[in-house]
Amino acid sequence: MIEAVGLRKTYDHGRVEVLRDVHLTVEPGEFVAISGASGSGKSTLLHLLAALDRPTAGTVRVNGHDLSGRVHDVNGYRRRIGLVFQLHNLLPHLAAARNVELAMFGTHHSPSERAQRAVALLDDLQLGYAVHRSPARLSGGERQRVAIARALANEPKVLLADEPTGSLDAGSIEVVFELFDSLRAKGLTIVMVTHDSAVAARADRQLTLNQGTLART
Amino acid sequence: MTFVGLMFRNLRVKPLRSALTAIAVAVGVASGVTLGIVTHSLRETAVQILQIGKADFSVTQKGVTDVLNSVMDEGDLVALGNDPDVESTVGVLVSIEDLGDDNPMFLEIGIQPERMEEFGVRLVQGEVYGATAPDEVMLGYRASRNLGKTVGDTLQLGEFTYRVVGIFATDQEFGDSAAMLPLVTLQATERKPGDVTIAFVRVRPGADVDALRQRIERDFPQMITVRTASEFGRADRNLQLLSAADDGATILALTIGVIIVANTMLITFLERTREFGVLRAVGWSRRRVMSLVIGETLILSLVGASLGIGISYLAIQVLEHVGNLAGVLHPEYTVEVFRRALLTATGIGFLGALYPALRAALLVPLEALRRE
Repeated sequence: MIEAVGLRKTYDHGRVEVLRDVHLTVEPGEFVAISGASGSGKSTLLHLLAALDRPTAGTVRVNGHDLSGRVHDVNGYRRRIGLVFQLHNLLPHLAAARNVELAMFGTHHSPSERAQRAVALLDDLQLGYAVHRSPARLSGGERQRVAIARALANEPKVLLADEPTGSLDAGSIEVVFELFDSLRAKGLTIVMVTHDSAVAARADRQLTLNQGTLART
Repeated sequence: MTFVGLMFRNLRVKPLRSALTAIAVAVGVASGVTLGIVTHSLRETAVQILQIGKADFSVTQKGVTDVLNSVMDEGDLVALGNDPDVESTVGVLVSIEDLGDDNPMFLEIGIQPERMEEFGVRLVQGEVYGATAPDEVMLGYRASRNLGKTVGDTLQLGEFTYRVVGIFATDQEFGDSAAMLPLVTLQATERKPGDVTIAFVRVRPGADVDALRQRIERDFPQMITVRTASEFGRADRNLQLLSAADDGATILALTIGVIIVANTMLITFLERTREFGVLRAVGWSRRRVMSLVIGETLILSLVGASLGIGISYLAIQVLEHVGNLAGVLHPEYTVEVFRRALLTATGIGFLGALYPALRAALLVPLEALRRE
């Protein structure tokens, strides 16, 4: 469960206020889409939920982890949260499967288990043919799917996705949502930032960030 | 993919840079190892002079730059021999003769014939020279073989011609490669009447050797005693200087190696900032990121160490045939050599990687991800 109360985030010594008084509750298994103009604070909100940043004020809890201050076992928390970056952030010198495996270092999986799971995830995202390809030899959509596979590598309970379908074609979007649906059936909670109203419409709930404040669409 | 496998993959991204970093380590290792081997070899060679005589310890003049420049009065040795704990003393005069490129440092040992047995010399062919014979010489069996001289042949040493009257063995390479002459004869040709270079002292059974040495150094302040190879520097300041130069050069090579590796790894770190940010964002701990950077550097260091040993081996092969070192350098590739190479490489790698690794580990993921 995700619970944010009175979240505020400022930069530049308080001169730039990106989030102000954000309240958000996401139930387990729920799929929430967040839209908003560029610079409205969508990515910042995801970063706070992913423990990549700390709020200036307010509290945020994800599955019992208090992320408002110093996070206990922050590395373990990050491993248990699936995070899809807007810009893929794949390591260019590693093949697709190796990029997925990276997220599993530090878990109990052996190297061979990591490799098997990476291939299985890429297969689920219909990228079985690209397992050994480097990111440079993948299209934008393929790279995004590899990034999604990496986010799902540790069977997270919460997936935070920043424009995960931004560079996908319609067919690929369907593949991704089929996987999301099957994982949601197992209890996966999804918070997705998107510009695409059609994609947002597939969520259980649509929210809009406007001038740092979250409101139901 | 294992963690080490990931390190190798990362190193292959910039093969030229990885190779150059390994070469930087190799140069540091080669410098340290070569100087270490040369110093060790020279020390061993020099120490052998003191070990020719079968003695409990040796006595030489204090404060000389080269033990072969030591000059002691035979009269002092007689006084030294009067100590109740001294069983016997054998004084020898040692001189170096240049016999050409193959024997640039041929050793001449002046010793009284009746002290030879005490000195550990065995006659293997011919006879012992006369106590005052001006033109008789004995050759160690190695010297005999190296010079192609045997009993009955003549041997030119400097401006003097000698007749080889016997071949001896000392069971010690340095002694067996030398010539022995009557002490008075060598003292005359060297214009050092009544002088000896080294004295070999045997101690009475049950006597306290260390106490005797302290007594000798107190009663004869111009003398110094040497019992083990590691003490040789007490008697030979050249070797002290050589050891200091070895240490200094090794530290310098290590420092330069560390700076080069640190610089390279820092550039690598700056290029890989975003990568480290991704790793931290997907749950890598600071320790794991540090281990990755240090591990990659240590791999390069180990490659550098292997390369460095190879370079060192080649360098020593060359040095063995160069000028003053010809015939003196007898390098030994001991476990210590490899330990030194490994330590040097590991030191360079670890110290060079430490700062970049710390910076990588301390990156704030979000800031790292924002870097281009």
